[in-house]
Amino acid sequence: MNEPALITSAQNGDLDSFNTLVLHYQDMVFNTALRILGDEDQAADASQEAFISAFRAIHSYRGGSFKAWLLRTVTNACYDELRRQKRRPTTPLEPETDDGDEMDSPRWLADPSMTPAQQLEADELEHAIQHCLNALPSDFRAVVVMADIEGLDYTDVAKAVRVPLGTVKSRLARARLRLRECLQSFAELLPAAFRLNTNEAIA
Amino acid sequence: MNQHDIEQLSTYLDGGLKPSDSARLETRLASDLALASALDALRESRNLLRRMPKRRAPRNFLLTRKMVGLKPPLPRSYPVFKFATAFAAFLFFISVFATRTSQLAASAPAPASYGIGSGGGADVPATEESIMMESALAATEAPATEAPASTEPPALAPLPTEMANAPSDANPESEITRVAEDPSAKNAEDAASQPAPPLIANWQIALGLAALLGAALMLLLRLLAARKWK
Repeated sequence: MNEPALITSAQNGDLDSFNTLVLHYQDMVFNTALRILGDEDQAADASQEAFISAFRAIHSYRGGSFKAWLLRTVTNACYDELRRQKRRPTTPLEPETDDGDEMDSPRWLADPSMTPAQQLEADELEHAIQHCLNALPSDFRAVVVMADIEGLDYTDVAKAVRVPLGTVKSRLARARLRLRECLQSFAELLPAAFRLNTNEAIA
Repeated sequence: MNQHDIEQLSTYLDGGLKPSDSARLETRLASDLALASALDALRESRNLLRRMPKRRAPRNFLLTRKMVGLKPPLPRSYPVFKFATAFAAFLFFISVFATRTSQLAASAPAPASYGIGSGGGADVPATEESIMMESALAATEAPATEAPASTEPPALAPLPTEMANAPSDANPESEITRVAEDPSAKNAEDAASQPAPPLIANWQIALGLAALLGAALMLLLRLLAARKWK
């Protein structure tokens, strides 16, 4: 994929070129939105909004990391969604078992390539981390998702969330610490491989 | 260990510290167990986040032209048509308005000059006319019945006197004719007999047609562009 050429075409109004970029980045965009929002439907809506906004504003892209530029639009779309949620709080409809209990690990999220035990382990880990991510302030969450989940460097994260580099470092450090504190309360839920061993770390 | 230390540890973990700062921190880490423990805690958090499964998009987020409000590219001549049509329409409405306004101003009644035969819109002259006719009739009848009427309006007083002094013209019909032969009244009659100017001149009609034609052409260009785009 010749990204610069596609971006230039998209800047000239070529929607097909932009759609090629959409296909390339949609998983990353959706995953980021999912980790910030914590809800699949909302993440899908935010991703779609982000791509629409990105196409409309692509003339403002002046080079640099397109991924970081795109993640900025995603972050903005997620912040909009979070603001909407604050204005109109809703109760999500979780899938239920036959007994009427909410399912912790919905089947539709299952990866068929994993064994049930592995799936359970991965689901529990994911749920624990997502729970702790949701407990973070949204500004911290966006930084930690971009830096640690999407693997952006500090400079790109700073561009994406439009804050100084020092703020990114500070938020990331505090977010990591808070996450660890939160995850410690889930120690027994976490699979053995991911269990945090404080004594071992100190030693 | 303070907030600055935590930030330094986090940055060190990502390899973002300067070599000199890294060396200093490593020296501290070797001797400070709490600092080393905090570094491990940060590392574990980061590793856990990196192990988060990557979700695939549940559907394609491909954009359509409708989603982004893209409109078909219009031909280069389109702005010319647009400007010409707008200009013609503007001129048309302005000229029609100006013509109509001037016509209305011209047809407004001039004071006391449209006394007889000028039609409606002149209440005062019509009243004067009826008074004059009544007084003329009264003057012709007066010698046969009683003394001249002293109740007549002073402005019209000379008229019956003149009538009385001219016995040969003592006919009321001829008096009406004389009054009607007043020059101002005659002018008004002439003006009324002239054909009314048209509401819209031919050039204005042409201007209006040009505006309509331009609008139709613009619509056609848009339709053709949209069809070609599909």
